Amino acid sequence: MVRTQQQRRIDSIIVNGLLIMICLISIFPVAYALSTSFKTQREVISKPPYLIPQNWSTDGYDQVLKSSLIRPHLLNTFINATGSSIIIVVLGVLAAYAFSRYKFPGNKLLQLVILGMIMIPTLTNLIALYRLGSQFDLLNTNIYMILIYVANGLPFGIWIIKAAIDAIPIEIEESARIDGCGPLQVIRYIILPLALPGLVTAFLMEFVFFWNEFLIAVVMLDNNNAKTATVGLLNFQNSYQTAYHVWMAGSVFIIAPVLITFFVLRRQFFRAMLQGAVKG
Amino acid sequence: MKKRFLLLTVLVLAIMTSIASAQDRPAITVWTKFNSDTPQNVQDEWMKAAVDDYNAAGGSITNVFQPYDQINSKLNLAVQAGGDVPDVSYVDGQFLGFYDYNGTLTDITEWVKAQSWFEDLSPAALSACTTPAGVILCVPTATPGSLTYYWTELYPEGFPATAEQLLNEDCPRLSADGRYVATFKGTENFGLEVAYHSLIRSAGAAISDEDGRAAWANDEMVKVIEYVRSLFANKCAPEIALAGGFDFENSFKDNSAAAILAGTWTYVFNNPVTAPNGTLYDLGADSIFTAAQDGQIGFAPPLAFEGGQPASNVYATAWAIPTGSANPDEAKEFINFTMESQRNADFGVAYGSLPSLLSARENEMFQTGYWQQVAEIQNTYGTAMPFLVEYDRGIAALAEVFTKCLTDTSLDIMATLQAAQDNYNNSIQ
Amino acid sequence: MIAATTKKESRTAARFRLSWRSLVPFWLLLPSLIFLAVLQLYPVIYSLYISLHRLRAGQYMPVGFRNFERLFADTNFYEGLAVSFRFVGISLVLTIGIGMLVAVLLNQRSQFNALYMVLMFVPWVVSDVVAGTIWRWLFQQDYGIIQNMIQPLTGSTSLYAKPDGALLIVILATVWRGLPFTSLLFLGALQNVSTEVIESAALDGANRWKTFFRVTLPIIRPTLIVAVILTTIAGLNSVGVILTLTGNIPATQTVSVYLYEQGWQFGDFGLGAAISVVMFFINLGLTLVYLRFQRQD
Repeated sequence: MVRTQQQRRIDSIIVNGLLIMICLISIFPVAYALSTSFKTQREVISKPPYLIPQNWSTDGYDQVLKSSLIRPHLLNTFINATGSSIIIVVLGVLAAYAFSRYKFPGNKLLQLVILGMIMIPTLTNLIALYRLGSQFDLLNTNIYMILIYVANGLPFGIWIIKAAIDAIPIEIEESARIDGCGPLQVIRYIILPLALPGLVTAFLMEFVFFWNEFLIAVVMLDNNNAKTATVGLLNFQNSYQTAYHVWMAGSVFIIAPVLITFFVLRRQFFRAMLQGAVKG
Repeated sequence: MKKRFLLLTVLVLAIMTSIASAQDRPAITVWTKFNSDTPQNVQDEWMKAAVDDYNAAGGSITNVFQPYDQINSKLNLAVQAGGDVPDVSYVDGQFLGFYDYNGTLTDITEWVKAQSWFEDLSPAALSACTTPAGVILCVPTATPGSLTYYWTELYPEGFPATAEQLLNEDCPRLSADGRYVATFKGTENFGLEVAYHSLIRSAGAAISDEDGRAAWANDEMVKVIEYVRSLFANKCAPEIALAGGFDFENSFKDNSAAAILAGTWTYVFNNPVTAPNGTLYDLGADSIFTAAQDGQIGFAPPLAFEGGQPASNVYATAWAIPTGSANPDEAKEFINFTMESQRNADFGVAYGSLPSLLSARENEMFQTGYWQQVAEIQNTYGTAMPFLVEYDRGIAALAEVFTKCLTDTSLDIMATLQAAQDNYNNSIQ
Repeated sequence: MIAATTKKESRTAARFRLSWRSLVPFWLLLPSLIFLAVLQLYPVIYSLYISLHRLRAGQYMPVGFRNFERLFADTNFYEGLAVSFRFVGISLVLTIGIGMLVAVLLNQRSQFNALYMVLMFVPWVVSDVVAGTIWRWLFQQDYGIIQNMIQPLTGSTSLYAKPDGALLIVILATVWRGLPFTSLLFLGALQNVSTEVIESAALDGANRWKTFFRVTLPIIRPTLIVAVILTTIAGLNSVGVILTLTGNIPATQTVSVYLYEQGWQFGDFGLGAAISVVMFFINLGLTLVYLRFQRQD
């Protein structure tokens, strides 16, 4: 059955048409938030609503810039998300390499236990973590948030990275071993370059997750200097009203950096995902 | 050599005195739901002024903003789990039972009684901070309460005295005009505290019995829910009232609803407003007051059934010193600072309620029509919420019955009330 | 395995090397295990402890299984479970279904694929709190732009003032955020299906639909199950989107929102811990059920 030229063209139009529609649905809410962020308070509550601001205004941004959303909140978000994602990837590589390349009693069981930690509801641990933090005088510090995030994201990170290491043929390492390389050297010189897309994927997924993390932060953080951006956003929403243009301007500041990070890393990420970074 | 030595001595002395003077007034932290960092409204601005003035007077206080729906939970967790407990905190008076049960706040009875402003406290405000055992756990700063705002043009003869009149006479009249008789928050705790409280009391129903247990499954409570059901069924109230959040207010702002079942604080947030004659009032927190001066907006007691009394749910905003406060003495300094009569009056206007000090109520700011009426409503119809150990859970459980029965009109009201009542009484610890 | 020693080495050296080597995985795992033990395992055990106690004024009072009794006697818990399964069920079907469609479309390898994929991934980077507020804003009664478009369908009232409508918006927002990742997972699986298999099926006279359901789908089943597990767990534990979108109303009170309300807002830490324990087993149970499907053949 050979399809004719015309059929192909129709196929192509349908395919592209549907995809364009999906893309529009995907970006519309964010684009509208961007548009709202440039409206005035008055225009935000105009009936009927406008798609594009009638009078462009930076009032929302002015208020955000005056507030502590950028400094310290967004800075905290940056420190916590970057710090925890990097540590997760480093620890994850070591652990995943052990799981992937060594036979030892309990290997499978330990993997299952760690994977099972993904099933723990987030709120479960928070009371204990709060007490632990206060005992070690670590509450409201970036370090403690990073430590919590690392433990929280590590199971998923190990899982992703193990899939990437599993995909590397073992023969490549064997020659290095014969040359006398230890496991750390093998990881450094063979695994890291070959598993890079997988590691980037793990990093990006953890980074996006912890950049946006809300539940842990809102319970754990009591201090204005330690709050992260998603929690700090609540500063613009008090009891009975939300200043939507300010809120949306704040949201733009939160979305932009992580969107740029995604854009920079997207090739490696897509490549790894398409090669099956997340496996059954 | 000598010079250098002298310089060093001076330097050391300077550092020591600066440390010493810093030790005179320890730095303290206060938790509030007011955002003094980025003021969004007059409440936030009051807090900013309080912090600035206090620090200018030699104190050192940092305000930590906590979201209004988190502050009570966060304070409880910080105390229970040994967190960074603030030296002083804002608390909602309704949570007194919860705080008392959990030991979250320190007993400040003796101290409060020894203060110069003690005699000046309104009795209702003081009782909102006093447990049934007579222990004072907080210092009331203001007494918000519920009342009704209405567009006078739409109620030429004033807001109806009874709920029945509103449904049977005003609703047909106003809905013919495409308007709702009133808008209100119909869900969550806020709906129960502000909109339904007066209906419940005037129907002869109660939130709880004397032992603090739920006593909801009775004909009086059914009457209340059936009444609100018929408000929606006859299009007397906008359905948005049944959503979460605060979008219901817009119906009053654009006068598509002729009234709003409101609180004394509503003017702070409910602006700008447009009168039925088309006049726009866009003056921030002054919008409602100006409209009232123009005779566009009137104020009335909360909605009540015939044969019953309206009940204005009066509670207290307050300062409290949490258990584990590092600097209780400096915290008391701050409380004293805010309890100065003028500042207390300013807080009342900023928060949107009568201040807790009687002398502050004498302030000329409270001699306007609005405040006179608020004072009269609170004096005549003021009723406090019951002292519940699990206030939040109890109110939420009853509010859920309302939401369920109002959104699903096929639901049997009595059965739902009974189930919720049993459920609550079983679930309290 | 690399741990094989050469015969030429002396026995003692071999033994030494073996024991050192057998400890290598332990050293590699140690940092991760420390993290997980202190900040995951200990808190979980601590939660089990709390679930058997009542915390009051900083003191723990043992109450046996009272918290679990209270939980299982609470009708709100069962209602929460029902809402959770409705919410997860519908968003699962939509996410998987539309995700598969998008993957199939992308697999036609349009020249604009790179652009499509970047645009499609925008929702993926948006935080749940921000997403919830944006979606609420879209459907806001008077000023919501989508609400205005659908006004003829819903009447004068906002969709989220109606119980089913509120749940529907929460589902839409959840699917919106979950779609890109799922699509990408499926696309990866589809691209790894060899074209020969498809072509031979086509030669056998099967049409495109038949080929997809009879040939392609079984091959990518492992990925399908992973996507189902990830979407289910994410949905069951979702709190941020729901609370910011609809507030805590009965229609959208999933079991995780119930946990948030009881264990956090009401400060009933004992009951909260009990709910956590039950939720963990629900998560685990569902995962095991899904994994059974994977092993069936």
